[in-house]
Amino acid sequence: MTVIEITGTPEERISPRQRWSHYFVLLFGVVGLLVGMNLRDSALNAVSVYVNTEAGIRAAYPHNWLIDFDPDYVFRVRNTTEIGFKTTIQIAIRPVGANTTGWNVLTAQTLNRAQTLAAYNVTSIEPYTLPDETQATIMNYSYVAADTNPFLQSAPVAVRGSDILVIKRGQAIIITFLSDAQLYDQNIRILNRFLRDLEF
Amino acid sequence: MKNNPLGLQSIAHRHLEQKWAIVSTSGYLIPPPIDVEEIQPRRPVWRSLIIEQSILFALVAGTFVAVNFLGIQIPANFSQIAGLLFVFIPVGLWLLLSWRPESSAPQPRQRLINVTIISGLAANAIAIPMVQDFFQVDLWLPLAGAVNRIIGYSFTAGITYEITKYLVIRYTVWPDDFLDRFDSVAYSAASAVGFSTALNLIFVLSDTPPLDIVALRIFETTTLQLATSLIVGYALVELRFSRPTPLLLPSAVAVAAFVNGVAIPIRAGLVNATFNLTTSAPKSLFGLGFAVVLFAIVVAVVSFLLRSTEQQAREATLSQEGELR
Repeated sequence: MTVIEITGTPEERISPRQRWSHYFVLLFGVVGLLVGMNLRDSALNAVSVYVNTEAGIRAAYPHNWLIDFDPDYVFRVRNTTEIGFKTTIQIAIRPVGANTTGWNVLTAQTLNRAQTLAAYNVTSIEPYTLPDETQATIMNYSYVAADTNPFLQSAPVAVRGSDILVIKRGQAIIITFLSDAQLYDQNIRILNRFLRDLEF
Repeated sequence: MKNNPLGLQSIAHRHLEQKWAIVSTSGYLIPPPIDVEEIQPRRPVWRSLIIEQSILFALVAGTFVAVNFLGIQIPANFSQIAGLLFVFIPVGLWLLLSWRPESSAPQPRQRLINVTIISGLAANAIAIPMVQDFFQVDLWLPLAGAVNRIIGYSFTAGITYEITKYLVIRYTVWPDDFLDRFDSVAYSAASAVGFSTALNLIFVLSDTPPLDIVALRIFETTTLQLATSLIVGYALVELRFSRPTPLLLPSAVAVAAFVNGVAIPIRAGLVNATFNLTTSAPKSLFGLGFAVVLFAIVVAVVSFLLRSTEQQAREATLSQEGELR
């Protein structure tokens, strides 16, 4: 039987080759995680650009979201891959008179929605500053959304929404953000990024 | 001095291992007449590892057959408890078949349980939050294309899991407790069992999946973590006993991360129901088969590499001893 006597601290017993090998692993780990972060950021922050010269809007919305158009709004994008309520961003434009205030527009929105949405409730109306320092008004509200197809047998979902209103060039620009109430705080960063890139 | 059966005048020396060697007067070693069985100081690891996984496979297959073919229904309120019990089967098997027999080995591996517990804690505290909350892989990787998914999972979950397990082994047992080449298998398996238990616990507690799905997922996670740990373990033990290039260990970690990156989306692609106009159902058995094949391939390759390097080391030692004589 061969007896090997081991002396010294563990670090002293490691050869330079072994030490370099461990350094390379740590370096590889750091570089790999940085690559992973880059992949995550490029996937999560990937955007598609929408330009409407007629309305004077240029927006960058999240990649892979579904865009649609309707006479009631300029465009609407929804995250259709989401399970449950689809997070939505919508931009609408309403012509306003010279004496119309933000309060008038938001009240009209409230009266309209109160007739169509279940348990619609405005929680706050307050001043808001957009990333480009434009002064706006934000109205926060909530309602209950039920699936229009009863055969899907889905439970109603509490929705939190925000309308950001800017009056400019004789028209009211309403940016609407809707999200499942439970995911609102998580999804609000999507709206913030959308507003940062929005030009109108 | 006495005469041996061959009639040669020889000297018999008592060997330190209780063997008798007969040396002729000319100095040549004559093999001993009785073949004494060599006592293994360390517990053999491959057999117990394969038995554990075979029993786990049998339990998973039995659960799948019972639920899907025999129509045995698990009550909904008992399903999660049964799932939780199932999570502890791999670690229970490992304790019974790997950890407990260590005490009867002449030279037991002392820190197996430490590695298991620390790996589980590190998975729960570092690796899982990093993958789920920091990288948020569920938000962007399932939607990506096949190649992007493989790359994405390799650079997020793969690297995080493998670096975590590597660090646990590196700073708990390497190099002091790596006394022979097969220690890498024992400690890698210990780390993988602890790590996969944490992953499986999170899976079971995050939702209320059916028991057959839990069983399949537990087997797939455990075998995948075992396979990738064995790859890194091989490089660690080579670094301990041989003089490999310093790039062997990072390469092994990269390969293990890549295996993770390939296995996660392939398993999901095999298991999930295909999208078509007719009815389609999940193909769970494909995932089970994939896990078995992956584990068998990695075990075969690592076993072959360990045996061949062990053989080379023995031959080198014998030739050195011969030169000294």
